[in-house]
Amino acid sequence: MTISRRQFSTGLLAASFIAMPGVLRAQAKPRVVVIGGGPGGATVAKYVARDSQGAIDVTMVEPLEKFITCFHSNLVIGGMRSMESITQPYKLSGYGVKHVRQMAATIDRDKKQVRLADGSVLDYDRLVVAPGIDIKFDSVPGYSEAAAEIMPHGWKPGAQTLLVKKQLDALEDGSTIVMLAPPNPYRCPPGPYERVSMMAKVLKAKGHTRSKIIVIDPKDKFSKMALFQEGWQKHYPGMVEWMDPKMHGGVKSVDPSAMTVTTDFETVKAAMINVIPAQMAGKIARDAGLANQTGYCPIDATNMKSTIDPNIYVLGDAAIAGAMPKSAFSANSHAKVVAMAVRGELTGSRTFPARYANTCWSVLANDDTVKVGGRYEPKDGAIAEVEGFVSKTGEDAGIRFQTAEENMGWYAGITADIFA
Amino acid sequence: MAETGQMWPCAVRTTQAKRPIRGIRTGLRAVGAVVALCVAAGHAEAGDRELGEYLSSECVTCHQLSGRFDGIPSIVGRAEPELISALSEYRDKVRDNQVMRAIAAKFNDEEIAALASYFGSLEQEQSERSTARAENARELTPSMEGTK
Repeated sequence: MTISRRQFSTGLLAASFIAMPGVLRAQAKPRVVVIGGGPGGATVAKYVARDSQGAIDVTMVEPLEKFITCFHSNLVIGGMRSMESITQPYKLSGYGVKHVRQMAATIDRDKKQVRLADGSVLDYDRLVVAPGIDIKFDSVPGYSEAAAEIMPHGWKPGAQTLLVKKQLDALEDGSTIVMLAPPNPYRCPPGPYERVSMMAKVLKAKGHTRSKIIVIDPKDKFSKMALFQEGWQKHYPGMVEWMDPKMHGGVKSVDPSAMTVTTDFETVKAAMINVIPAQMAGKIARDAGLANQTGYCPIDATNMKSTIDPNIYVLGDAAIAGAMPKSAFSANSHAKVVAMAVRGELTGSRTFPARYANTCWSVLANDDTVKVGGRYEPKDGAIAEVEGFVSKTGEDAGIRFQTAEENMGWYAGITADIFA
Repeated sequence: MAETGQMWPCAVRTTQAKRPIRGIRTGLRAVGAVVALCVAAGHAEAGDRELGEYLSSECVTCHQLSGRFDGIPSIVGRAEPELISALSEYRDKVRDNQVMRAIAAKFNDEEIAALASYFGSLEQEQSERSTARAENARELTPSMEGTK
């Protein structure tokens, strides 16, 4: 006798009613609380609410009324997009998502409650934690949250993005910009180097070709390295100097008042210093004990469930997602697996093996964009790459133009998928 | 039969009316759709639309569910044989787009049929295009969708 997928699914549904009386019988509707309204959190909220058709009560805790996307914020710095164009209002109420505009203050895992900044409490059956990253200000001696007003990181979108742009736009020809690139793992692996391209683009457009961008990097290689270096040489010759650890010996400190960076070998004075420090999972995830010694949150690769608490899922930049980079695309991809798994647990709906995907596009110059990406699946307890690709050096202008169009199309697609 | 084209001599188009995207879930379990797809290995059952709906969540990160085109082609409401053909060719590295080749690389025939069944059943909510990109769209589509 063979059992069809549908019969099997029906059996699972029946079994789940027996196995989970606390959720399915004791209350009218299971409750899902989502902390964070970014590409991970908002996508989970939308997909669970939409696909459960009212069978699950979904609350998204996110203080912002409109979300500014970190993806494409480099293009704002490069003058290719406006802040308005990367600001996305939430249009999720039509799916049944309750948007609570509060900061989540604490998680009581024993009581299965989230306490909000105003003191109110949300009960949950399943909690989704998607807080993104926090900046480790103390990873760079001399740097601080206050120093970020002078030496912006620009790694959280909004005011910091605009500060980077304002400082860049005010530079004179012949100025020196220093970027301190972050150590792995961090949000958007190609992001610092795309930003370098955008800075150089702005300088070049003003005729400031005597200006220079020095990248002091703790890594000896970086995402799409050959493509960026080729692009810098082609579009911005002599304007970008990338230094690996052998060339600077490590950053000893920064001094915001003197506008200097001291490495093991020298002290560099610059007109603009962009410090991108090390990063870690958002505070609420760490405070709830969901992170390990890495500062990020371990998960079950098959469904993004926390390995520390079976009632909690962690996704996006805060999670340890194996071979997947920390990106909006990855977070959105995690979210679809989480939404399926949550619905499966709470309503017995069909579940399928997890599949993940990512693509990161990076703009080198107008009509010259490159990409890297892949498909991922759970393997040996981690998320592993099963298929990958990267743009080639020396590609013709037609392919690069198509990739540039694809990048803009992706932005429109993923923002519609997340927010609308 | 004529409308399915010569590539699909044994394919029969579904007679089921296309559904609007919103509220489609109630229809997803309606398996009365008469769709006999001719795939490479021979005859197969109609695509599993529920599986297709799950798999489609990966697609709609880039391809807008509304059918709108802003630089990435719409796949909503396209005929199932066309979608099966395209996905199979990406999987087999015949069509040339790195992202699509990676996405399709591990699809089996059942999954491709499921996706085609799902997207083929949807109606475009809107067909407007970004005016600024309409010209690009016309230039872009043949090469992005082309066969190498």
